Amino acid sequence: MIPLVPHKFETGETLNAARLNGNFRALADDLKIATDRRYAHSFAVFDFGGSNNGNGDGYRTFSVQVPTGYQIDIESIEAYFWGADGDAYTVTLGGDVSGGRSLSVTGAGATVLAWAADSFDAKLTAGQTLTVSYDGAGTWTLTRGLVIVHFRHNRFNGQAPSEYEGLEIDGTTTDDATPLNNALSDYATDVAAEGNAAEALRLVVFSMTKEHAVPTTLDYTFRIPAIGARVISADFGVCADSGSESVQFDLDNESATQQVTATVVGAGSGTMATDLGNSVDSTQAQDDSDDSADDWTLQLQGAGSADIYRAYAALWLGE
Amino acid sequence: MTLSGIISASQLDSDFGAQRSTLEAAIQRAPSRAVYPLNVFDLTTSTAESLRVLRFLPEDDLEVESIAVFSGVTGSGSATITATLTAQSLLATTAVPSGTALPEFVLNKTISVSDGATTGAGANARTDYQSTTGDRLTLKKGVPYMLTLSSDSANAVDAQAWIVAKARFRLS
Repeated sequence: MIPLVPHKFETGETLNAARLNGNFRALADDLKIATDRRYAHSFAVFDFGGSNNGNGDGYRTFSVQVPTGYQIDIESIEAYFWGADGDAYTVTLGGDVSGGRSLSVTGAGATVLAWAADSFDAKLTAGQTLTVSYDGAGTWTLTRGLVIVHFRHNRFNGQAPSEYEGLEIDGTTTDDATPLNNALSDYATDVAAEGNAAEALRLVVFSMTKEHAVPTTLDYTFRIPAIGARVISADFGVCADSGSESVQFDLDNESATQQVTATVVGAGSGTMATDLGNSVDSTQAQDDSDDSADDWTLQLQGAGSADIYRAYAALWLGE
Repeated sequence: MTLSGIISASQLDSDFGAQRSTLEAAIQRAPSRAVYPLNVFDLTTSTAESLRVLRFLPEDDLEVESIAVFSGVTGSGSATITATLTAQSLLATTAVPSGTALPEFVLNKTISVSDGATTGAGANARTDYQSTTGDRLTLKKGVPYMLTLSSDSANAVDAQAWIVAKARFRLS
């Protein structure tokens, strides 16, 4: 990397205060840019599949929980809906989102995309829950709904930004090098703080909406690419007809060693039952997403006697 | 370096350059990769696009690292499934004021990967875009993209796809 400072000082030139100040201002500007870029922007995709007004809430609800030690700032939400022309839907962010927030979208046809978006400003801290849901007005039929929640994560987890302002020499200073030393030392201190950037937080949601009238027919494995990420925690949810069925979630690494397991029992009446905040804290040993041998797997297996409609696993990743 | 006494030009250059380089290295720590999965159950050649698409709008520039497609539990018979990533207009049915043609992005490029002869669970194909030859792609923030799954067969197959993309943090 070639250092990019405004002025290169040459032997024999007269030390010019303006040029010196310019270099210090450039350093200060760079620190400001670094501060601005401490945020990693992410988005989580919640795939609702299809539903209609006769189905229970569980068909159209996701819940996830911010992992311990992290916080997220929700910035915006998008809805991609394919529903009957004129049907009115409301997407809601709830749980611990202050006051709840909603977005309206009107269907344009069963296979015609209707899109809506809005900015949001909501902060969720460790252990708080984000619920993403939608509902329709009157009689409605949704072919498929995708809701994307954009959020940002401060890679410094709230560390105060640098206030370094450089050095202003007035051109008449005849002091020794102390002011320069101090200015550069202050800068080095703030750069060192920037060096503490932690992992960016990502949320990946694996969901399935295929109905399984016989729960034991649910035996499905999602593959998760190796990206050298740390799986911080996992949230699970199941929507089923009654409490007589369950779904077991098994997250295995590339060596088929189990990293986390959970069994979620149906809550009945099409209600979403959840098991949130399962600590995993396991780092992928490989980072070659192009090698299938390095994939992790997430297996969902059903048990019981009543219908299973939806199941999802939300993985919080850090890298 | 600590300056003292007579300051040489090389001292100044060295110190400014070192500080800037240190910051550059600091901000480049922790490049972050993200996974965007798409799962479609009972995919056939007649499955409507609305049921086999992931649309998204990145808010960071993202370097595409890999794209993959693979089958989970299959029905009977064979099928070739394809995952395709492309930039698209958000509302594909909306005519623009100047005519009926849709606006396209200058950087519009379609990439895809196919899994041929899918006859059992676990078949997969993937392409690495980090390799030193061939395409190297960046998804621009603020541009809408879509990842679609498609099949050439009436035989239903449970299909999965993903893209892995990396966000980098740079000073300039």
